[in-house]
Amino acid sequence: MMGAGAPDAASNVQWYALVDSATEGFAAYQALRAAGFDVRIAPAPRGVQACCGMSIAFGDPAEVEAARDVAAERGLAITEFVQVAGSRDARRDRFC
Amino acid sequence: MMYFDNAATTLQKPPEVAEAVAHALTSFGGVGRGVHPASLAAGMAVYDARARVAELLGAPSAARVAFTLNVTMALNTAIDGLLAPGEGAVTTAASHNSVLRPLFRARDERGCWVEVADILPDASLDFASYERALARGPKLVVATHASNLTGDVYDIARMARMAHEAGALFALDAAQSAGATPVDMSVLGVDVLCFTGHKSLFGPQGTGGLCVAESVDILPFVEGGSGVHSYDERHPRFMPEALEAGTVNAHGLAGLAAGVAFLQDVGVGQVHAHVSRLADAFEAGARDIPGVRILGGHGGMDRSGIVALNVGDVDSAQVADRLAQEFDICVRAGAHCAPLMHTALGTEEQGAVRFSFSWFNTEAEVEAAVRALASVARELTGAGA
Repeated sequence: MMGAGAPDAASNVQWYALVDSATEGFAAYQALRAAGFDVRIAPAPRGVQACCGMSIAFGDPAEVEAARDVAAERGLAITEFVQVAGSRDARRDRFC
Repeated sequence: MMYFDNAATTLQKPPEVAEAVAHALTSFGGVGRGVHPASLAAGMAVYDARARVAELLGAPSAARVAFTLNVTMALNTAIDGLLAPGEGAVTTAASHNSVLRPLFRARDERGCWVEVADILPDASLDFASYERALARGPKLVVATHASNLTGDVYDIARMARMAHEAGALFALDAAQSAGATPVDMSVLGVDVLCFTGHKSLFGPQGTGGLCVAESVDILPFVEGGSGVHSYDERHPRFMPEALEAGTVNAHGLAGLAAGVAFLQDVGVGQVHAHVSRLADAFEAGARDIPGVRILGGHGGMDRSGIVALNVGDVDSAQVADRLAQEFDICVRAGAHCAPLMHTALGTEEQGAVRFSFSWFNTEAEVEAAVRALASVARELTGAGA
């Protein structure tokens, strides 16, 4: 697992925004969606956060920095932005 | 049928409420117990309900809204979670048993003391009595916003200010006011606001909750599954999970969200104006009926769409029964779970007949109710025959 850092659109990593509770997660998710970000609610990656089962996954790693700024501006209760390597292979055969 | 028992529960609700519940029953998984589509469908609906309730009632945020089965459970949660053994509480004689009984249990089982401020015969609060009670230094004041018997709306801003000056937290029983009259806990200075979902918020039965100010920490009332922090031995202490153990009534809360959305569209001010017009019109007609005595109703700041009355010295249950059997009119009679209010008004033996109006009642129904009441009064007392 890599720590939060500059997004890497080309590699096999998934970016997540971590939250401490479902209520905060839904609030942050709605705010990011309303701001136009390609995000979905996903299981929190177990190696990163065991306590709250929910996280916000980014469809486009290139959006993470902008999302970080929006979260700060709007006071969204996101505790951390993390990348998890090996969780998604953009080159995988999707049709088998 | 004409339904005037909205203070007990609203029978007529916006159609979107039943639609939301029906949809939920066939699409919701477990709230907060997964992130698959069915779980998220439930989770988003419950979050929507929290956010709408927070906005409607002036709560700090959605996270500060915890759902319970009803306002009784919300009040028990607040009282149990805020009053430590030996501490004191103040309430008023307008309080419902959902306030009185948990306070008296704290008195009897945890050594807490309870002072009850008097209500005067016109149903107004005796502020001198309230001030004397506060002088004893309570931890908590729990008061009703609007009497479930007479509809009198009390000066909560003043009561909360006095409570804070005495060093006490202020918890509000908004069972009869939330949705019936504009309520904003931040403006009123309320620390904990307890509400029910199935009266003027138009939600299904089995919904209610409490809105908690940021600075207030309520100990969990029930501990169990929380969906998070599963390896902790004790229940989480952060809101709203702290006050919600087990699976919430997501089906019902989907309906509650639809009810609150309806109110947000119509405007609570419009609802209040409508039920006030109906209550005023009914009272004016009822006063002209020989033998009818109106109880309270003008001792508070305002009234929340309720008119309580008696017919001569006739048992209130008889009056209500005649109205139901002969005219298909639904009203509540008896003690209304408000024993001290009846003591204050002198109606312990007779009880009272309560008419309570909602957005969905009409002026034509009120006129018919007045005619029916006149007929029943003539029958039972012989007056005006």
